[in-house]
Amino acid sequence: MRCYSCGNLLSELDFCPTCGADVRLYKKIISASSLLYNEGLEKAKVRDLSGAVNSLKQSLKYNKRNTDARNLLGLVYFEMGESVLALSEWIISKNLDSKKNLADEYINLLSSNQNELDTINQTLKKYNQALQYCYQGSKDLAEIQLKKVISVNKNLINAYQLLALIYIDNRDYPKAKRTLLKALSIDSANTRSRYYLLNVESALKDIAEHSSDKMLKQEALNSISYESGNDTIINPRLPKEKVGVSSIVNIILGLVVGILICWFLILPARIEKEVSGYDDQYKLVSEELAAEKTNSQEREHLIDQYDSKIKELQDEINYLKGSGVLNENDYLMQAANAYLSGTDNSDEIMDNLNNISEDYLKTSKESFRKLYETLNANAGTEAVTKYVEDARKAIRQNDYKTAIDAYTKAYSIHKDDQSLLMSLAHAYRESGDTNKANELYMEIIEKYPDTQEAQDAGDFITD
Amino acid sequence: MINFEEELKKFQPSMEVEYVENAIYEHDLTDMTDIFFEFMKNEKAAQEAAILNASMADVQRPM
Repeated sequence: MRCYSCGNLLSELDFCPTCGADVRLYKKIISASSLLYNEGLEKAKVRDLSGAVNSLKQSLKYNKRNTDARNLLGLVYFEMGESVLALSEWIISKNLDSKKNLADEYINLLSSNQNELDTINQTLKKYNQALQYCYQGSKDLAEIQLKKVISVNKNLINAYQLLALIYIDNRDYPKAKRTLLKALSIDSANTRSRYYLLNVESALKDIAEHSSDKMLKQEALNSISYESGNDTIINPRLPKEKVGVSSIVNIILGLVVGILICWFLILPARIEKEVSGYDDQYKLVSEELAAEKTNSQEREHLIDQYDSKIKELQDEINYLKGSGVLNENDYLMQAANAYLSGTDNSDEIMDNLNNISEDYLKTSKESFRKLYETLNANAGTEAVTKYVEDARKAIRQNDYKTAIDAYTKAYSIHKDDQSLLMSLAHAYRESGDTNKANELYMEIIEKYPDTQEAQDAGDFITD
Repeated sequence: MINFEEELKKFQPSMEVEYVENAIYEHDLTDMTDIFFEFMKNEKAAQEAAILNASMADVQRPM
């Protein structure tokens, strides 16, 4: 402690050792302030905030320069939700004692977060507005505002108290009690809160004992607290589950509603989804089936083609292997054999060559045709001569059939010889087949028009 | 039983941020120490006045 006159440190004496000023009273004032500060601190520690406020205010009334007391007062105000009051105390503290003051930190904390400060300010405005509503008689609006305030500024004790007052006026004692208990959890020895709570509990007790309304009575009983020695026991408000027929009915109703919702809302959508899935599958399968069918048809067609090819090849194989019947190759071989044997076998050669059809010749290999033509050229003339001699011999013997055969063979070798054709025609005529004879005569006329044979043929044509 | 109107009168509006400045200016910071200093000042003045009066009286007394 320092002397108020010279500022030097004081001793335990009642006067200043430096300037001699009477400091007895001054010391008492300062001590009282300190004492009250300590008292306020103790109360703040046990959350008797309103008691702490009173003590600290008293302390500051003794000594306004008690920085600790002022800072603590600001803290207590802040805890009670009165942030602006707290801020004002800290500002004053800083102004009175600017050196190493905790108030600096507190002020920076508040002012650094402008949004939070604005939010707090809004809650205070709403609280003031709710108070106005109460003065105007609009308790409902006040209730709504106060609920909003409490939800944001959870420590504003005045708001809890005002709300509790509204509930009390509305005779909603359980709600009032809950609100007051919340207020008391912040400020445990608040006189107003305790006073209201006392009244509320008294009212609840009254209802519990005398009310005819069962629900109200039960609610009151649940809310009542009672004293047990030094403890106050408050019955917890446990919501009771209503068991019985109504709950079973509710469960059944819930199940029915759930089933109906599933049936009408969820199931059709699921079914449609499944069906569309099946449709897609069906479509896919149909397409696959159609593709498969087409492939199958193609395969069958191919199989038919292969079958015919196989048959052709088989025929060819059979032909090449030989089935006992002489084929064109055999005839050609026989004709070649007859030619090579050297004897006069021209008719044999020609007989064999005549068995080879012109159609076969056209499609045969070149080597085959060459051999055929060679044999035909070499043996043909001799064969013709022989056939003509045979034919004449046969005519002399009136064997026109043989003559016709011989002339036919000869003509087949020398197709350009009109005399042979003429002789053949004569043979037919002599044999009595005049139709055939006329036919041949006409052929001569057509094929060889400006020849002697044509002229003669015209004479021989009979009707 | 609690009277709503009577209790309502006890509720005071909370201070808003806009009014902090005025509140601080109007805050009465007079404390016991200020009163003490005033008292001491007056006491000192009174003592000085008394000493002066005594010396004046000595001067006026006949020898």
